[in-house]
Amino acid sequence: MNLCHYLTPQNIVLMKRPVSKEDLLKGLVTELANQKNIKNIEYLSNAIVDRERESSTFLPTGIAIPHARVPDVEEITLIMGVMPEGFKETQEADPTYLVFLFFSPIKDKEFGRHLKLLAKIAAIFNDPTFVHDVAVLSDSDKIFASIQHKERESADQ
Amino acid sequence: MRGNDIMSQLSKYSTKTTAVVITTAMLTFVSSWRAASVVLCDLGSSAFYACGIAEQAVGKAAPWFIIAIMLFSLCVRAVYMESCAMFVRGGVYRVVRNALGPSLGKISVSALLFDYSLTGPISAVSAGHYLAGFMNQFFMLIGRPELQVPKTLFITVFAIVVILYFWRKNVIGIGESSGKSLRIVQLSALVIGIMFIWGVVTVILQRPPLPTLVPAPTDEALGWLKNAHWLHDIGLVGIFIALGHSILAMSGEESLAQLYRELASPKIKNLKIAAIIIFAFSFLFTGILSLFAVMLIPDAVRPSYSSNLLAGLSMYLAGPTMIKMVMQGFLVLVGVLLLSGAVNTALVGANGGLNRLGEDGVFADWFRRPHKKYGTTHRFLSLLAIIQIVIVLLCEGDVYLLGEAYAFGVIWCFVSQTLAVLVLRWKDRSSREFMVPMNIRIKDVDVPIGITLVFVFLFGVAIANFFTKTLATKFGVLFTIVVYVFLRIFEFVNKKKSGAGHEHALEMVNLEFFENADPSSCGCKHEKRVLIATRDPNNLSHLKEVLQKTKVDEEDILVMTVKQGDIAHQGSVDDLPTDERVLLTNIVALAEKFGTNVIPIMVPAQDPIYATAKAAYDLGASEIVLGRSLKTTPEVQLEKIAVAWGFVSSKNPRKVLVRVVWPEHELKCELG
Repeated sequence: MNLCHYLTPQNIVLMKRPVSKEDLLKGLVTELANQKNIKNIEYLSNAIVDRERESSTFLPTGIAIPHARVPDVEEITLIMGVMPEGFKETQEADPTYLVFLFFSPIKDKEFGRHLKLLAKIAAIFNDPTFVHDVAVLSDSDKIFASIQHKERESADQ
Repeated sequence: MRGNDIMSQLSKYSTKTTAVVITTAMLTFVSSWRAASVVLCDLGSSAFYACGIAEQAVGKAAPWFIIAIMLFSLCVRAVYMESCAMFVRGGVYRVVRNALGPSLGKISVSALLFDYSLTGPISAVSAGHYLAGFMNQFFMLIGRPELQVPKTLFITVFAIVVILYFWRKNVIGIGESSGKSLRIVQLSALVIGIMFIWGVVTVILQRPPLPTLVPAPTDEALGWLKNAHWLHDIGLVGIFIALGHSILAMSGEESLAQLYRELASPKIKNLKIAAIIIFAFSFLFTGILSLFAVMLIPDAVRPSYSSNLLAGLSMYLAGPTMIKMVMQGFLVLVGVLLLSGAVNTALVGANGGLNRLGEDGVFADWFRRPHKKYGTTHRFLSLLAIIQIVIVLLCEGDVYLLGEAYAFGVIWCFVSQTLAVLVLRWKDRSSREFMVPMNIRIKDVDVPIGITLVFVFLFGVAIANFFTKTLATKFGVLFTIVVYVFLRIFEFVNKKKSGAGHEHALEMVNLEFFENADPSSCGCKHEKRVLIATRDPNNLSHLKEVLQKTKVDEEDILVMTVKQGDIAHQGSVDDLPTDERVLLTNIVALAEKFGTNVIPIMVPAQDPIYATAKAAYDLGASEIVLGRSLKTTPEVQLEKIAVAWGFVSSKNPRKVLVRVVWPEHELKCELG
């Protein structure tokens, strides 16, 4: 399981500081739906927001991994949002710099892949310094290259 | 924002697993052989004196009644087994209290405690007698009569040493003390096996007549019935009187019930095995060898061997005198060891009984507080050892009086226990893993024909015993009342002191703090480990599932709970909040029910899921088991643990199987 299998420079989106968490999530869902030609944006947005309500995926390491299992996709579909200035939902909350939003098929046999992707993202971005360094690169190609390098480095270890 | 600033925000993601390991020897489990050996030290040692005493009371028919009692002991054991299937922490007090009320429960356990207080001293002093006698004979034999040991002093010192030895072994734990019992029984089995085969050969060669089946009670043996001449003509009365005088051959059953909580998995199967081992050993040893003794030792000389019938038997087996004397030496050694082992049986049984009373709030928590190193209820054990030593000092090596007073508690305990199990067939109609055979199913009740017959028989023997063993009745009734009154006073004082709302049933354990927990500091013994996350004391079905399926000889079971906020660095269970104590109590109860060892640990953390993944990683667990959350779905639980596992294992990725388990369902996946 490689993150870069699902990530390309094209689906890395540099974002301005969003107004709210919902605004951030809906913005990324819309971008992903447009890129992948998926209809039913509202349903997808609601799926992500509902899952977030169940349990937040915003981690104290500076990343967030909002996700949902939906029938509208045949395979894992991912988009990455980058916020160099960081996003804080509340004053006390940890800042979030990178958001990995993805949908995966609802089929049971795909659930393992879904979980492994979550674990993979958490593993690559377990170092807050690396998260911050990636966020300030401000270029999707460089960001992708940096992640690819990190992933290869981890695999070599 | 860089480096340290960012890291400081991750305070809720600790980089190490700090844990409090709940240490308690209560979670030590023993095999069926060890359990059987603890009982056999008591039951087996009676072979040395039971038939001799019974013969003095009822004549040459005594061995038949000893055999009958040995056969009947299997029925009583079956009653105890049914009670064990209902109450993991059982024994007469818990069973009688649940069936017949707390007062009768306390009366029953008072009678039993009286007998247990006597069992230790009688056994230890008897062992001292055998050893002193053997040593003096030996010194005479080698022509050094001046080396004769001063009997009373030697016996008293020896008895106290034996009591202190087994007190220490019990303080260390049941694993330690049962190990000693097992060694004793193994050696005894070897000697007795030789005796049995030799006895069979002698009987075949000499063809002695079988003793009469008709009991002939002496006037003394008739006790208060001596003048009730109309009763003497009823044969059944004579049989019950004879059985009453033979019942002292059957003891140790209560210790088996107290040991049940510490019996390894599969519990009921192991209990059945233990019961069969006990039966086979005691039937051959106490029953058949007693018969051989009466058949082979001439009537004229047999009374001189009444206190050590088996030593006498060894001298009348076929063969050269020199070999027979060596055999007698071995028998004395076995007798000394078995009798000493009976001190252990008494301590195990009495300690269990006192613990059940303690759990019920009869004693102050101070008594139940576990030993700092071994986790055993050492204060109860010390109290029992002190009582036994005082009795040894008071009796000055004379066991006759104590022996006469003995057996009241045992028989009445059997009666109350059987009555309680009988009543519970109606009061508690849930299914049992084991039931005394002979039942007729009517509607939802298994009408207990078997238990009823056992009860009637026991009650008959108890009544006969009551009127004929007058000294035992007087001492027994007096001491039962005294102990009962003391228990009520203790209970009253303790309840007044601790308040009405005080919860007594909570587990008493020790806490050990580890800044950086690892498998070794947590007490792991195997390469394979499973970590079970627990939170809700009423939601432990996932732990139950693991306990049912895990092979404990292959993997360690770590049961973890996350404590949000401060955590005690060291100390006792009092340092834990009630919620954690209730959870811990339920975990220990489940582990005991399945006879499976678990390692309870408590991890201070803010994020329970992260702490679970981190602990599993640091402790090298290959499997994480979660119960179903009431707040979220099993899918979300797996997603959260997947993220946490990715985070903690990023530097050194490792595979882990994660399962969310709830009744009849499971959702699992492999990560890494």
